[in-house]
Amino acid sequence: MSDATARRRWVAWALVAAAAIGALAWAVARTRGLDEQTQATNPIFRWEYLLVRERTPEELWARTREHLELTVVPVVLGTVLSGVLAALVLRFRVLQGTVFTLAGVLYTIPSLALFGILSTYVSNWTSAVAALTTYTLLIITRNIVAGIDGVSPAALDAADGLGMGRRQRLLAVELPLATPVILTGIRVATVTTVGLVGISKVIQLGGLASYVFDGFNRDYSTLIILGSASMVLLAVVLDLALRGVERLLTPWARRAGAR
Amino acid sequence: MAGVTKTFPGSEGPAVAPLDLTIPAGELTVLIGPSGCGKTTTLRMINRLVEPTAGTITIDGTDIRERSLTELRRGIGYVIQQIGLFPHRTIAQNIATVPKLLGWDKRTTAARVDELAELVGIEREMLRRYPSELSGGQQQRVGVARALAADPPILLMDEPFGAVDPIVRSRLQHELLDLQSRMRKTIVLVTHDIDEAVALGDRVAVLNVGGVLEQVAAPDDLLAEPANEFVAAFLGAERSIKRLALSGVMSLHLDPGPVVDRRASDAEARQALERGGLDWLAVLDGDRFLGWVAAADLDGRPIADLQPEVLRARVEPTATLREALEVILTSHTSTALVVDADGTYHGAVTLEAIREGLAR
Repeated sequence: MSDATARRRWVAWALVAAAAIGALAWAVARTRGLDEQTQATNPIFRWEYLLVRERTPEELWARTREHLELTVVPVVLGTVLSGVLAALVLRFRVLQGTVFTLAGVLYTIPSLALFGILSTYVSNWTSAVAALTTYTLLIITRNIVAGIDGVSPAALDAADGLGMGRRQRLLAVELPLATPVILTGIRVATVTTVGLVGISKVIQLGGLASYVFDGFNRDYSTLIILGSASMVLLAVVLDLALRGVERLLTPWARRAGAR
Repeated sequence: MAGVTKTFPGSEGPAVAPLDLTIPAGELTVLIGPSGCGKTTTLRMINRLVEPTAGTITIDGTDIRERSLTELRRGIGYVIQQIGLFPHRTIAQNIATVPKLLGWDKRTTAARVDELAELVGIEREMLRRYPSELSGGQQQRVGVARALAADPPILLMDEPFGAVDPIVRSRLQHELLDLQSRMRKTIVLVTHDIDEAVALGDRVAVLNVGGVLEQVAAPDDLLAEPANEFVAAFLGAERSIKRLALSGVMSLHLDPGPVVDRRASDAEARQALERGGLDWLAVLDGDRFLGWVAAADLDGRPIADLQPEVLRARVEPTATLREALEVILTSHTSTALVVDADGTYHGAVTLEAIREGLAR
């Protein structure tokens, strides 16, 4: 894995962690101001909200599903689109600069602005998916191109010399060997998207982040912690799942590493 | 190859000047030369990894451009210095690359993979491993097995042993010669190592910078009579020493040697001693070699009464001149006797005989 992708992944994780810690700090600061009597009846986290309140499981599940949907759909769409973009770049190298710059520009559009613009034309859900998809393009496209560029020239020379056609070489040699780098890109994009979904609250979505926003509005730390913790958990679970997929798809890398 | 030339875009002169070269079927032809001589380019034009700028290459009378690119390449084995095994495929899958492309059924392919593993000396349990789990030498064996998988009549090898250490390299070279003596493929091998060229090639083509063909000849002829200054300089100062490794002792006119029959009398032995001009005699029983006796030990008794001693200055008939020279230099007698493993005597090798053999 390249240094750049490793760094991007750390940035994504740092953002998620910072959000969680910030929420916690806010909750602690809130509680400090209250006297002991109130604090006893008004703890940082009310477990009964999670365990006793009847509506909570259903609501939590609905928001998790929304969050998951708003993560998975953009990442899948983004992967497909990135595949097309990467194929263009690999086929016509002159396009590389243009495609990367364009994806870079899209990446820098503030998400709030993008939600706002899009939602005036299409439904809220569509604009959220479109915006979030946009943000995955840069990372995934670059990793596909880098992954395929990184395949050893010797393996390619052998593939050509042994009589593989262009297509056979791509499917049997280049894509499998680029898989670790491509999957790393998808993983970074996924974790980043889990964090970005929250902002779609401005267009009445937001998934698990809705808890955090509600918590802020109502000065209710339980909701903030519930929302943050579930988001972190979701990011971790998705990251681990993708690592599992990578291990399954690249048995050779594992055995080489185990030596 | 007729008038084959290649000029890369953006470069001044051609990488390969118009080149005419005939590569005989069933022989190992080595392309050698300094870097920039276009030897690899020439090799890669044969399987069209590089397209010639002009000229035609024919295999068995057919222009290689008449066949489809993939069909041509699947019929030509290809081995490169960097080996280029597919790291995500097991050894068995790597070897099966071309059979799979050709659509062989699973059974035939698996049988062929086993056969090749045996041929190149890869243990069966390694077949399930990945390339990164093998040593460099083992990987190159797999590279050769992969190239041979569909039994192509032609094998192209681009510095196949360049990336392994000297000990493994010499072992792989011997294995290649051994394989070639059984397979009789048409092999074109590129190297920059003159010792490798001389050791492996049936014929050696020396190329100069810009792809100019300077000489094509059998290794011994090349070393004995380099066509010009360039070839001589490229072969190096030790041409005669290199030639020593190429001929066997049986190619010399063997001297009868300082021999005496075990039934000879003392007087006969003294005559033989004079003829031989040495201070010892080899004792024979018919054509069987028994040992040697020193001149000082001749004391009037017949030879049969003396106890012949074990001789160290002896070589087998399969020895090269180089091995014979080694024995001569380290023995006290400037003579080595050629004796079979079963004791049959063939004659004597002297420094003079070796010198004459090289002079030819």
